[in-house]
Amino acid sequence: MKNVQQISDQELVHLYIKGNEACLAQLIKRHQRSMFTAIYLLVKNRALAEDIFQDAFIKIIHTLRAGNYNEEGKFGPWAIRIGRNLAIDHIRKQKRNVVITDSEGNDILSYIQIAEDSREDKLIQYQTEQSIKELVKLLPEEQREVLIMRHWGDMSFKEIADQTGVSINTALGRMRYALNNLRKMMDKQGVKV
Amino acid sequence: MPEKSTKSNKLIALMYNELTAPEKADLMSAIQTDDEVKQEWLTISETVQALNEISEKPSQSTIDLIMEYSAKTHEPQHA
Repeated sequence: MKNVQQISDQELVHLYIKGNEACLAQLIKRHQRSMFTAIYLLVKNRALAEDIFQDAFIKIIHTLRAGNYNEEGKFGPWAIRIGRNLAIDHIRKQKRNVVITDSEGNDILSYIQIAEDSREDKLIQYQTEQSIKELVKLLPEEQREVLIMRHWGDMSFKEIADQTGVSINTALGRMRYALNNLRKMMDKQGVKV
Repeated sequence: MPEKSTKSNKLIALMYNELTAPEKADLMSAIQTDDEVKQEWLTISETVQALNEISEKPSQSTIDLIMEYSAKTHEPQHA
């Protein structure tokens, strides 16, 4: 038998459905970075991204075993789409939640975020990767979403347009604004590639 | 849509290899002959390259939990 590293995604899926657990491990290994990066940049919280990544793979496992997978040769984009949908669901639910504010009207959860950020500041020297990551998180949601799906999700602009219910030109336009805004922020912050 | 936006959108589509061969040839020619287009192309390239710097991965414990779940719920197939 071939080494799992040499097997295509499609074959890994077939072998996994037949019961070869090592094939799932290989699929995770291959796609974990792009999928996790996409989820993390959408929800902007590592712990939450870990939960959503896990939920996405549980959904993937069920779908594969139920025989409902029909994305021949496009496992990565399909998996990322599942992760993206779960992340968007979470963001929508979060928006519906009541925000608890202090006497000055500040969201008290933001204190937790600030505390986490401060701790991170001490732990991580802000290198290029961190800086750019933080800048991506600042992009408006619609722009960030297209950027993530195209860059890490390996989805075409047509697929993104279908997925988000907009025209291809709108998807391209959002990507253009995302890149322009990112570039402006990079210049302003002095972030060099 | 203004012509400049259309061109910018096409540069982005080119960056992600989503243009037809004739469209690609036209745009490559514009990049070589038009300084403004060339500058925009370089800016887009650099920004996209910066995105490649970002790479996150889940913790090993998250992966272990997925693998455990898969093994626990696995029903062996009988011949």
